[in-house]
Amino acid sequence: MSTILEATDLTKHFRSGGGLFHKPTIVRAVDGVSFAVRTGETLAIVGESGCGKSTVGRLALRLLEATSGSVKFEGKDLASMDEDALRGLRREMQMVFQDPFSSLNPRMTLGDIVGEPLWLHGMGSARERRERTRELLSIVGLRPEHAQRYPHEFSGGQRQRIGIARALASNPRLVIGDEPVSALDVSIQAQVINLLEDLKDRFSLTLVIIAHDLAVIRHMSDRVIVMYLGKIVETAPTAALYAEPLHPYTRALLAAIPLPAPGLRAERKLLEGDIPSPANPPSGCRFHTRCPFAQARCREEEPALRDAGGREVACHFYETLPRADAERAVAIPESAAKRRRMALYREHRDRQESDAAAAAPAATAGRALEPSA
Amino acid sequence: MSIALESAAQQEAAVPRSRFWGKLLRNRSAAIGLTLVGLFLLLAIVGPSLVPWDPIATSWTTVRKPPSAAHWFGTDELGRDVLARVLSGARASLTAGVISVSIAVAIGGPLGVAAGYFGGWTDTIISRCTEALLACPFLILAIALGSVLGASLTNAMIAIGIAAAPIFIRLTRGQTLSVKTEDFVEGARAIGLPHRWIIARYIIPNIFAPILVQATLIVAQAIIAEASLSFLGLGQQPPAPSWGAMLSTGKNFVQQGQWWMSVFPGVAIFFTVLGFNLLGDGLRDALDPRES
Repeated sequence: MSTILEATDLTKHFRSGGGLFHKPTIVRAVDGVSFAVRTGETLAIVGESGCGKSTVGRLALRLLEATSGSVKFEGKDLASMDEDALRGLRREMQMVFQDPFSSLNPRMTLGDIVGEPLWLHGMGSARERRERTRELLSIVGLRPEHAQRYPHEFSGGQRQRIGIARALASNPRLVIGDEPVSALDVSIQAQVINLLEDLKDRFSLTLVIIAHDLAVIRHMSDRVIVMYLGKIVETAPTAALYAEPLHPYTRALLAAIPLPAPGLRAERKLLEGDIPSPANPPSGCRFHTRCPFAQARCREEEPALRDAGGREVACHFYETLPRADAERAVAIPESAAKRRRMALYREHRDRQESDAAAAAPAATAGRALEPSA
Repeated sequence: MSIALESAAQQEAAVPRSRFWGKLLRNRSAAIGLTLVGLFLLLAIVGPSLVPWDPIATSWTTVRKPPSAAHWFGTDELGRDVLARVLSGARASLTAGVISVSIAVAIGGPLGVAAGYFGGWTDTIISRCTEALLACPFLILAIALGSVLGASLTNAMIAIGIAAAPIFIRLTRGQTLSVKTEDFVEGARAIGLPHRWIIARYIIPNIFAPILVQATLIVAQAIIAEASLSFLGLGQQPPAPSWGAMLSTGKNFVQQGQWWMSVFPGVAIFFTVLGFNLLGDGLRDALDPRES
């Protein structure tokens, strides 16, 4: 499989504060991150807020200038390109933003928003562009007649669809989604995720999804990069990562996913404390301040990303840690309160069923087929 | 703001335009503002020919006469008809207000957008100069500039325009800074739009409303500033009338009970300023697609 995007030793330091008499603080948002995106895959980048995942996404598109390191799109180095060359390349790589309320210009109609990339890149005549805009709107599930409306007339989910239509307009090959669904209601999230997956197949896209929601990632990605404080701690195929997370941080993230089963509870050790400041990261392994398995070496020596059989992990001791099953569930003893709630629920359901049976005797045949408690 | 996308523009040009006027006229205060401004513009153009009196011809027999059937607004200290002078003064005052604000926006807008959008050294230089100018009171600055440029109505307008420009630099810079952080500006960069297009299509339409409202407020100040400059002999040159000059002369006679010499030009300034303010508010709402 060929590589579409390759980041090598990407570093971004932000300077903040500083003045005549005191030094500025250097925030190491991204610190030596290397990864490759393979053509056609869905790569997820996950981590807590402030781990630098969004910055990586912006560096990858050169929306931010990297402090050091390089990004290559199909072998072409982005940093060495001038504005014109970069503009041509921007047709190929697009971004979907997190906040659908801030990512659309409120003064432009949908037709202009979606049609603008076509116009900018001089794709087709005015008539063809109008046709294409309408087509794009219907592809993402909006009505073509909406082209004359303004973004404020639409809901969050619809706006995110508009953002996706705009991203797709120039026929890109790589789309980076910066938390594309985390600002949406849960019920809408699924729709937008499904849309992204459909579009990926339909237009042979390569997707990079930046997220903090592991459930979303599991559903749609092929490979996952886990970041902590500006560094990659683990890279693995999705199935392997969820089956057996190697890095203690990945374990903690997976353990934090709630288990959707009443009466069961995941056996988990939740992380304690806050993520340290990237302006003053801990020495050695950056995770050692919160790691339940930390040892003396972790405080002194920074672990490099090591090969671990088709995946990579940055931990000195991952081989010797106790095996983690992400979803080992333990039954919790049933409480009296729960017994009462269940009894009330059963009584209510039985009453409803008998009412329904009395009202429509013919329907009882159908009802009987349903599994009873 | 014309939309460069022909695709949309061709088909939809008719719709937003009628929607804009519809919204503007449905808004009662905007309609009143538009009427007032329109009325004063009309008076400035045709007004002087409606009254039989010459606004600059003096008459020793009619000095400081109260309003009467012959002189509806009375006469001034040189026996000139106040109504005739208010009507022909409208031209000087409205021109001074509108032109000087246009100059201020033309200077302040681009500088403010440049400072806010590009940041860095551009911002530092522009902002420091602006602060230096803002340290001088608006009127003092206008008077100083006016006296350097020389006494004439044109120079007064230029002086007022330059003196008011820092207000617009500050406003546009602040607005640009806040719009610049919106995701849609980053999105515009992500599709590869050049800076000039981002400024024209993303920044300016989104900062337009507060600038428009500020402009209508400054029109009022500019009319009064022109009055002050005229009072000092730096604006409209006597005997040609302007509301400001009439107001400054007339106020000397208020204590003697001769109110008409200052009240009528004052009322004219009041309604003009009110008209511009109402119109400004209405325009802001009518130009905002989010307001229905």
